[in-house]
Amino acid sequence: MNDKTEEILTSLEGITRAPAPPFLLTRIMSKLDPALKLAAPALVRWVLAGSLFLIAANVVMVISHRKQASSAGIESEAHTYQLY
Amino acid sequence: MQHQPLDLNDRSAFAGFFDQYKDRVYNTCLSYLQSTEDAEEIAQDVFIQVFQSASRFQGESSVSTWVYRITVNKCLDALRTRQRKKRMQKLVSLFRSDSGELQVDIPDFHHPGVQLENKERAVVLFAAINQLPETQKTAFILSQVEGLPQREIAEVMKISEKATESLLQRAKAGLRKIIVSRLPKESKLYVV
Repeated sequence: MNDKTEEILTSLEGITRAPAPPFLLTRIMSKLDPALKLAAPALVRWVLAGSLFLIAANVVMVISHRKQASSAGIESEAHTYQLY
Repeated sequence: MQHQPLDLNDRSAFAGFFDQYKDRVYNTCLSYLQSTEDAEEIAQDVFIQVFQSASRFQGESSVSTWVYRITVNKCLDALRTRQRKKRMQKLVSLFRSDSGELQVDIPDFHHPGVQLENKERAVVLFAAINQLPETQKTAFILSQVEGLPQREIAEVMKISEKATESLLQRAKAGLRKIIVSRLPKESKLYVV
């Protein structure tokens, strides 16, 4: 058996882990930043989406109702004064 | 194995996860790439991949195994890219008279975690590890540098424990041959 070869082969005994560089996380975060900023828990995202949908639906209904009320008022006035 | 959901979608969760695995990932990258710059770059890629894949992690293995697997794959990809670049440069140099010097091979690698009395011998060993086939290299690094048990190496590499044992034996035999061939002539007098 070659002593020198075996000494080389076992030279990693007692090796400790090299510590990660201090700014590694910062660099990773800057690459992931947009994804991490926008991310919210799934439940929050669903509640928010549902709320936005309800608000949008209400706005559409209000606009639609106002248009109907407006045209109904015009027709009523026209009928009163026999303008048609 | 109990499935633990992996939610890394906010900063503090990701930072906590990073803290737990940063040294394992970086150290593995360093052992493969034998360059602090390359190891840092690939370690970044590993954590980005982890973030992007976290929601798809089904708990079919331990988190540690999964992270090591991503790390190993990224390192092997980087080594293949390096080899391709080296071959291209050699090809270019054949056709260009003004190509100047070829890119120098990576310099001797001094792993910062090696014990002081073993530093010079470890340089020779890491140079030899660099010449091993991919599977033997992986088995040896995970065993001797990361200190993983054969069971976990087998899970990372998706092979049986017996296959892992065989790879390690072949890796050591291969390393012995490489080391002997690199020793100065006078040292070879001691070869039996």
